Amino acid sequence: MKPLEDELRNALKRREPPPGFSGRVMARVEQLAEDRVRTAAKPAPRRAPWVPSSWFGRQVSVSFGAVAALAAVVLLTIGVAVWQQHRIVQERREGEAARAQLIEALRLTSSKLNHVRTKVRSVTDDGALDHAPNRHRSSSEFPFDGPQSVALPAA
Amino acid sequence: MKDQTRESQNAALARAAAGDTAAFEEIVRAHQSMVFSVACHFLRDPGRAEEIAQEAFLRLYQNLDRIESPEHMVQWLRKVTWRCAIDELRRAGRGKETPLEDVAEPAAQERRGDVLLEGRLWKLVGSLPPRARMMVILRYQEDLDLAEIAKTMDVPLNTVKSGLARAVGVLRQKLNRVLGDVKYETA
Repeated sequence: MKPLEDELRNALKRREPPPGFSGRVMARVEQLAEDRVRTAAKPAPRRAPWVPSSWFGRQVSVSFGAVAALAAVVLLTIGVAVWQQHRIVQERREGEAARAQLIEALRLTSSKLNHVRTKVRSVTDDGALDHAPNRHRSSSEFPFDGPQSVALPAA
Repeated sequence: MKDQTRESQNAALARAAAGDTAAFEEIVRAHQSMVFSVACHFLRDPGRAEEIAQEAFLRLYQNLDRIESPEHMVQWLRKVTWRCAIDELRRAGRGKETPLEDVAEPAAQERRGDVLLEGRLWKLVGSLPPRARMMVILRYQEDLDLAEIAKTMDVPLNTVKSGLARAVGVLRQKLNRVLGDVKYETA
C-alpha cells in the first residue's frame, strides 16, 4: 500500500506542454525584441527647452505635455489659495462694518435714553408728580435703578 | 555529469543575457515542463496553463539581466509562474478561498489501484484553495522543502508548515472517504 504522499507525487507528475510550445514562446520573444528595437528607434519626446537633460547625473526625459500639466497644477493651486485669502479678507471687512453699525446704534440709543432721563428728572424736580400716592423715593432714585448711562463697547 | 549540466546551463544563461535567442530557446526547452506543469496542475486547464507558461518565459526574457545563476532562474520561474497563475485565477473570478473542509469530493467511488485514482486525486488537489493547492504542487511535483516553498510563495515558513499539513490531512480524509476501506497514511 503506497502512502498518500507517493500517490500525490504520481498524480502531480510533470507534464510536457503541447507540441510547438517553445516555438510559440520564441515567436513572442522575437515580437518583443522587434518592439524594443522599434521603441528605441522612435525619437524621444520633444523636450521643453528650460528643462535640463540630466539632473545630478541622472538622465531625465520631460516632455512639453508633462511640463504644461505641472504648470497647470501649480497655477490652479495658487489661484485657489489667492481666492481663499481674498474671501477671508472680505468676510473680515463685512464683520467690521457690521460691528461699527451696531456701535453707532447703541450710541444713539444711549443718547436718547439719557435725554429721556433728563426730561423725567426735571419733571419730577418740579413737583409735577408729588400727588402720586405712596411716593417716598428721592428724585435720584427715579426711574433708573441701573447705570446712569449705557456703557459703550470699546471701538 | 551534474557539473557539466550546470556549466552548460550557465553558458546558455550568459549567452541568452547577451541577446542570443537560440540560447534562450535552449532555456525554454529545459524548463518548459516544470513551468507548464505547475500552471497546469494549479489551473487544471492546459490552454490557460500554456498562456501562463508563455507569460512566465516572456518575463524571464525581459529580466535576464537580473538572473544570477541557473538555480536562481529556476526559483525565479517558479515564483513568476505562481504569481501569474494566481492573477489568472483572480481574473477569472475563481480565486475565492474555500475552506478546506468544504472541498468537494469525487462522486463515484474508485477502487484503489485503479488507473483513474491519479485523476481523482488530481481533481481533489485542484479543488483545494489556491494557496494550499500551490503548496501541495510545489511540495509533491517539484519536491521542494518547506523553506523553498515559503520563499517561492513569499509567505512565512510557519504558514507553509501549517497550510501543507492541513491540506494533506484534508486530502487524506477525503480520499479515505471516497475509497471506502482503503486507508492512506503518512509515509
